[in-house]
Parts: sequence; structure tokens; C-alpha cells
Amino acid sequence: MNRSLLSVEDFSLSYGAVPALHQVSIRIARGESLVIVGESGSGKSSLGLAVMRLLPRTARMTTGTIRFLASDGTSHELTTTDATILQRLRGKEIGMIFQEPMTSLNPVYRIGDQITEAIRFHEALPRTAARDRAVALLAHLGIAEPERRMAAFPHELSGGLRQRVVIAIALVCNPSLLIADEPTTALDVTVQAQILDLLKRLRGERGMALLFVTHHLGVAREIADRILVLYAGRAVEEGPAAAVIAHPLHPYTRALLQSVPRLGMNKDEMTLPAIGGAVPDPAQVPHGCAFAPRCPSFRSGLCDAAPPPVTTFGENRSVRCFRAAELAA
Amino acid sequence: MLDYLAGRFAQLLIVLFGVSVVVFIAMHLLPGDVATLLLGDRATAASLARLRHQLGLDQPVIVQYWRFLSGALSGDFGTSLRDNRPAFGEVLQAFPVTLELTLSALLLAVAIGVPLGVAAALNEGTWIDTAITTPTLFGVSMPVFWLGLMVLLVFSEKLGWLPVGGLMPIGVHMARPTGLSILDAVLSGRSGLVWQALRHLLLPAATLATIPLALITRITRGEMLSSMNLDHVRTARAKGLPESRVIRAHILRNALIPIVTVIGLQLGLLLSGAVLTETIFSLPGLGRLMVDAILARDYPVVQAGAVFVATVFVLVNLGVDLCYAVLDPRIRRQ
Ligand SMILES: Nc1ncnc2c1ncn2[C@@H]1O[C@H](COP(=O)(O)OP(=O)(O)O)[C@@H](O)[C@H]1O
Ligand SMILES: [Mg+2]
Repeated sequence: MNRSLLSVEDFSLSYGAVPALHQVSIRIARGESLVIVGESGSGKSSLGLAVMRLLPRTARMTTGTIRFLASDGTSHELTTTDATILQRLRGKEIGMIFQEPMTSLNPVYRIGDQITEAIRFHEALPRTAARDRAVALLAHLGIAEPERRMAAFPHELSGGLRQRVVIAIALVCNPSLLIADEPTTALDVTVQAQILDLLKRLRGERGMALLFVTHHLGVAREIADRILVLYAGRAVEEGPAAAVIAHPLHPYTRALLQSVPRLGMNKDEMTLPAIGGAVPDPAQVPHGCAFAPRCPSFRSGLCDAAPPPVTTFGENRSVRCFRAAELAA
Repeated sequence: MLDYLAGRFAQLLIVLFGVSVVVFIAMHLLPGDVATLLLGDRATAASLARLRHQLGLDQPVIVQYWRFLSGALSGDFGTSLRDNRPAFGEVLQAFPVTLELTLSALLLAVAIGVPLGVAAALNEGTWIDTAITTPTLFGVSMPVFWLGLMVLLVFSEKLGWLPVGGLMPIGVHMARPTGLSILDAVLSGRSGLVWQALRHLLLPAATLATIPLALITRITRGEMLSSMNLDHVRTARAKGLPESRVIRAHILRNALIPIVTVIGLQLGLLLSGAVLTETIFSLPGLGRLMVDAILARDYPVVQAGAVFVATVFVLVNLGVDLCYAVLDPRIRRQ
């Protein structure tokens, strides 16, 4: 029986007719952290949003299942479960941090109210107790004068503070899984490092599982137990973080590693100097290996003939590349 | 905040000054004068001249304006040239009728328009959306005059359900301490009068409500749709809030900011645009008073009315701005 906290199996997704995710599978055990790495446009956010069932209406799931194990032991298929169950899981058992701290908060409410709102709907907690919990959490997240901040409106806070508030909202009901979609991308370097440290610490304290999305292998290295590399909506490599970083198996992972940006570079600065080119237009992914046109190890007649199968290495590493064994040698 | 109010007050003074000048000039450019209108075609030149002198109409325009201005500054707008009653008193007497009509129309428009707009947005692209949006296309360009006559014809003439016009049935008398006929009817303690007041108000209010109803529906739908796609709505759903809460507290609440502006603008427009409706339904409101005064070249009443309407207009805008500050914390500081 599958006792993973979260297991996404064979999941495919399209926006209209344009595919965004292609048969992606991920598993996260309780307390484990999985980092999804990939360039912008590879489908990372779509995957995170699919778990929360927060995809835009244009998104169509075409294959697969997403199962989540709730704290009461019941298992839920998130793509089909009914709305009331979903509402019970969202915010309570699965928290999500979004990429854009500037727009993720509602400009018309005080942040204290935005944090306690989730508690009000999930727990029968008196108002003052909910408030106390929010204040304590803000203090714990390193916010000075949390009492006073509770009364602030989002526009009165800096980006770093807002992102801490977004984190507080995601954590306030103690979820067993936290999904973080590039939570530091929009922030400046020092704040990025602070937020990352914060998430690491919280995970340690709470035993919370983490599905962390980033385009940044440097960030992944900081926080991952396991890494999954996504390219054009396909999982191209997966394995324990240390192993993937020390011995990448897929040419794409290798290219990513060679171009690991320093922490704090912004997206535009990040290119793949080792290979060049860009993620293919999702409507025109090549027939063979999606990475073939940019791959330094490309072999004609092999890589462009058919999609590469999954090859497993050892117990817990897998890669989608025809030449992986040969290149690893 | 005090700075802001002081600024708004200065703005009010400028607007009032501008309005008085424009109205003054416009009235003097109109052909015909009150003396001829009062004395009739067969008046002698001498009697006309005497009357003009009495009314001060033989003075240069600039002098007349100065007299008006100094009077107005001390609260004296002169007396009506038609019946010698204080001009401002006539305006104050007519205003409650217009106010009641306007507020009822706006209330109808908001009470129906906002829910319709929300329903259309939540059902975007379905037949419900189409069924709501299509009529609003006609609604926004509805000729009020024609519509008023049509509803009169149908509901009063043909069906006989509702009265043809006026505030009360002919022969019914009621004390009018406030001038607002529903409120006066309630104060009179006679439930029959309340019923009559409502019956008399229904058709004119519904007629006047048509355009703002269509506009408010469309604006609400549009603002709901754009507010739905904002990032913070996703955050709200991610919290696990029930959908009804997401819609009310995180979509509609934010959409209200622009909706309130439109409502405020409509209030201003309705106050000045009630003329046609008042004429069709024979309501003794400000619009009718102004039209009659203009036709009679009754300058003092026209001036007093224009200054009054402009003041109300500016105050309504001020009220809308204050609502803004309540609804949107981002502008509270400025
Ligand atoms: N709302 C949407 N409508 C249409 N296409 C979308 C939408 N959101 C994302 N996509 C497309 O899906 C692909 C994956 O996007 P996304 O999941 O945002 O990737 P990432 O988070 O890795 O940058 C991209 O090609 C993107 O253009
Ligand atoms: Mg993204």
C-alpha cells in the first residue's frame, strides 16, 4: 500500500491544447523535502497548483492522479474529491506559499485578519487565541513588533515582510505539507537567504514535508532531500539531492549545474551558458527527447527518434536519457 | 485629513464661482427677458422699462453679477421674479422631491444591479451571463423620456395599476415637514399614505433607475471578472475558505472600490438628470423648478438652483472620496 504523504502519478496537464506537464510522477514521504528544479516555463508552478487544485480554468488534466494522505489516515484523490473535502485540506493540511509576495495578499485587509482568517475556518478557536497564535508565529518568523504588524496593511510592508506574512498564512494551521512556489525569487539576496533559512528551520521544528519549486539549483541544494528536474513538462531526472548534485545523470541537469547562478541572481541573468538555447515552445516539443535540440550529447537517430524511457540507477535514482548509462561511465 | 478637507472646500468655492458666472452669462445671452414675459406682449415700452429698473435689469451685467454675488455670499439669492418668494426657499422646497426620487432610483439600481453583475460574472460565458448582459446593452442607451411615457402608458393608462403622476392622489393632503414624501407619510402615522407615497414613487424611480441599473450591472460584472483573477484570490482559496467567503470577502469586496465610484458618479448625474423624469411624472422637484424658472427667465431662482446643485454635486463627490478611503486602505494616507 502506498503510504506516501503525497503521490502524484502519471500526471499530465494541458492549457487548452498546449501541453504543460507530461506524465509526471512525484512522491513525498512525511517530513521529506522534494525540490522541483527547472527553467522558467518548465511546468513547476502548474504542478504545485495542481496539487492544490488551484489551476486556472483553462487548464485540463489529461492523465493521472494526485493522492494525499490526510492526518486522520484517510487518503484523498485531490483531482476529483469534492469541494468541501478540498476546503478542509487546503490551508489546514496543505499550505502554499506563492511566488509573488507583492500581490499574494489582499490589499484591503489588515495582515492580522488575513493570517487568522484560515484559523477561523479550520479550527474552533476563540478570536483572541487565534490572534495570539498569529502574533507568536510572526515573532517566530523573525518579524519585529508583531503586535503592531498585525494591524498593518500589506502596502505598508516591504517585500521580505510580506513574504513572511504569506508564509505565516500557509503555516498558521500547522500543515503536514508545505508547497512553496519560488518563495524567494522576487526578493533581494539577503532576504532570500533569510527566508530560506527560515523554511529550513521550520521544517526541522515541525516535521513538515516540503514541495519546493525553484529554477535555481543553488537554492535546491540548500533545502532538498530529493531533487526532481523538470524540463518542458517532463521529469528528466530524480534522486537524492546530494547525489544529483555530485553526479548528475542527465545532460540537462549537468548544464543546469554548470550554470548554477549565485544565490541572488535574478531570472534574466540565469542562462545556460554551457548549452544555450531556450526551453522549447510547449506546443512544439520535439518528437524524441525534449532536450535533444540543446543537448551537447545529442546523437542523431537515437535521441530524435522516440521519447527516452525512464532508466533507474540504484535504489532511488532515475533519469530519462538514452545515453545516461554511457555518459555516467 | 484636515488639509484634504480644506483643499476640497477651496475646490468647492472655485466650482461655485465658475457655475455662477456661467449660469449668469448663459441666462443673459438667452433671448427674451422677464419683463416681457411678465407683462405680456402688449405692455408699453414705459412700463417695461419701469419693471426692468425695478428688477435691476437695466444695470450693466457686471453690476448685476456683483449684486448677485454679494447677496449670495450673505446667503441671500434674491426673490423669485415670478412670485416674490425667496429664490433659495423655492429651491430648498423642491429639493427633497428630487432627492427622494434620486435616492430611490439609485437604491433600486444598486440593490438589483450589484447582485445581477455578480451573478453574470460568476456564470461568465453561460446563458445566465448572456441573459443578464444583453438587456444592459439597451439599458445604458435607453431614452428616458420615451421609457417614461411607455411605462406610464402601460402601467397607468392600460393596466391602471399605478398612478399617472404627482406625489399623492389629488385631494389627499399631508403635512410635509421633511419634504420627503415617504418619510412624511410615515411621520403622519397613516399607513394608507405610506402605501400611496410608495405607489407614486415606483414608476418614476424605476424609470430613472434604468440607466444606472444597466451601468452598475455592467461595471460590477467587469470588476468582478478582473478581481477574480488577482493573486490574492488564489491565496484566499489556498487557505481553504468556502467559495462563498472567497467571493464575498476577496472578490466582491475588492471590486467594490471602482463600483462605488460609478455609484457616486451616478448619484451626481441623477440629481441633475431627474428633470425629464420629474416632467413626465409631474413631480414638483428641483428639475421641474429649474426648467420653469429658465423658461420664465427667473434669474434668481435659476442662479440659486444652479449653485445649490453644484454644491450637492461637489459634496457627493467628496462623500465618494471618503467612501474610497474607507474601502481602500492604500489611499487613506494620501
Ligand atoms: N494560465 C495559463 N494559460 C496558458 N498557459 C499557461 C498558463 N500558465 C502556464 N502556462 C504555460 O504552461 C507552461 C508551464 O508554466 P508554469 O507551470 O508556470 O512553469 P514554471 O512555473 O516552471 O515557470 C508554460 O509553457 C506556460 O506558458
Ligand atoms: Mg512558476
